[in-house]
Amino acid sequence: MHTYGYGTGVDGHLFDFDDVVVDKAGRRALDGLTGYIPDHLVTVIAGPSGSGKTTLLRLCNHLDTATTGTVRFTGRAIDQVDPLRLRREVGMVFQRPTPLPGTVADNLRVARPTATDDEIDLGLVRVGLDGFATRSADELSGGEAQRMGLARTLLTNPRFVLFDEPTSALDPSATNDIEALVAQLAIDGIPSAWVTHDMGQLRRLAHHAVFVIDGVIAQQGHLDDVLSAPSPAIERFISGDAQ
Amino acid sequence: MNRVDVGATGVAASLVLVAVAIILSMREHLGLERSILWACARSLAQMLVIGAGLGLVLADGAPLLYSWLWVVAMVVIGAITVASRARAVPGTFTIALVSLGAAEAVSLLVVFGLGIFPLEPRTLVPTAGMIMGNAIGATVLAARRTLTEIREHRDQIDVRLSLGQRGSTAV
Repeated sequence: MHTYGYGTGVDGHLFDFDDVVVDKAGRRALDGLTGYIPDHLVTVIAGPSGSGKTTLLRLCNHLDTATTGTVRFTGRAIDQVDPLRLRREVGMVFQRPTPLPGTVADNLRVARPTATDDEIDLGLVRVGLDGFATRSADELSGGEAQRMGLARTLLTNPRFVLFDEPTSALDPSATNDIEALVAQLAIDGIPSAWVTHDMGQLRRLAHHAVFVIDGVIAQQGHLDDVLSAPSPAIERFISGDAQ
Repeated sequence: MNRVDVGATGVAASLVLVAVAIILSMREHLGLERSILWACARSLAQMLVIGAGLGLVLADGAPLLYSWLWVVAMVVIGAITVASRARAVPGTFTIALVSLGAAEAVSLLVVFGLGIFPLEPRTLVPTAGMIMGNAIGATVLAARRTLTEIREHRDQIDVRLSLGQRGSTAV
């Protein structure tokens, strides 16, 4: 069903969630969430706005912490893992393109201060930004800034990348570029989790689908399996009632 | 030491201003009467306690140690005040305690070390009080400004954290 032809593959778990509750800013963002994110290809986390998708992603990068319950990274409780090491193993690209002050090369060197000019150039070629190293980062278009953000993240050599609705502010052309990049990364061996509320994007990108509704995982599994037998809550989301 | 007594007339005159505020609150239906009365009673109690304390510290023949203890108490109470006015900044009490203590120490060292004033209770207590008054305002302002900067640059801080930078570097 997905566009990028991943094949079937074998799903090992990178993150496991056991009865995870997250309370923040006076509201319950996750409400006893249990499930997993596989260490394979692209997992799309879908669900209506405010359902807890971003919180789930931020838990994986230790930017948020569980109020109760357990998050495991490669089988270890995530609070037992050095967060600095975790964040370099599990990169994150955010919803809004966020250029830091300076040139594109300066931005990439935030991820790896010792990167040589050649490494910077190679990182930029990887995301289709060859020749951008000396450009001022705040002069980039939204799509270019988001690709720079991805190059910056990839410079930490992550084993997995978290994407929090990275194309929500981009036009269709820039969206296609980012999706193609992420799919190619997955095929090349850097799997990812991608948050969206766009069913079209889910169908294009997902190998594994996780539906988060009202702070819990309503259903998850191989995309084709989930969409062939969706639960009533997911049917409502797909038909737009839960948006 | 010159003595200035605040008699019943003085207290009554100051209470007139409180009464005016209460009347205005009632006329305009602001609902502030209880708060004004409570603040007034609290201030009165605080002034009585501080007055009694200062009476001991500034009494003729009182040892200079009492004045230094008074300065230490001002630093601690100042840090509590800063922490209460900038609750959203974690660890404010300790930071304020160190910064207010340092501000007092350096300023008093200059004033008394250079012999600008003679070191005695009647100069030490008011000088330390003036330094503390300004330092509290500056510290609260710095804490709130830091918080505003963090909120305004939250996206950039998240990016830096996600790239594996330490919190202190990311901020």
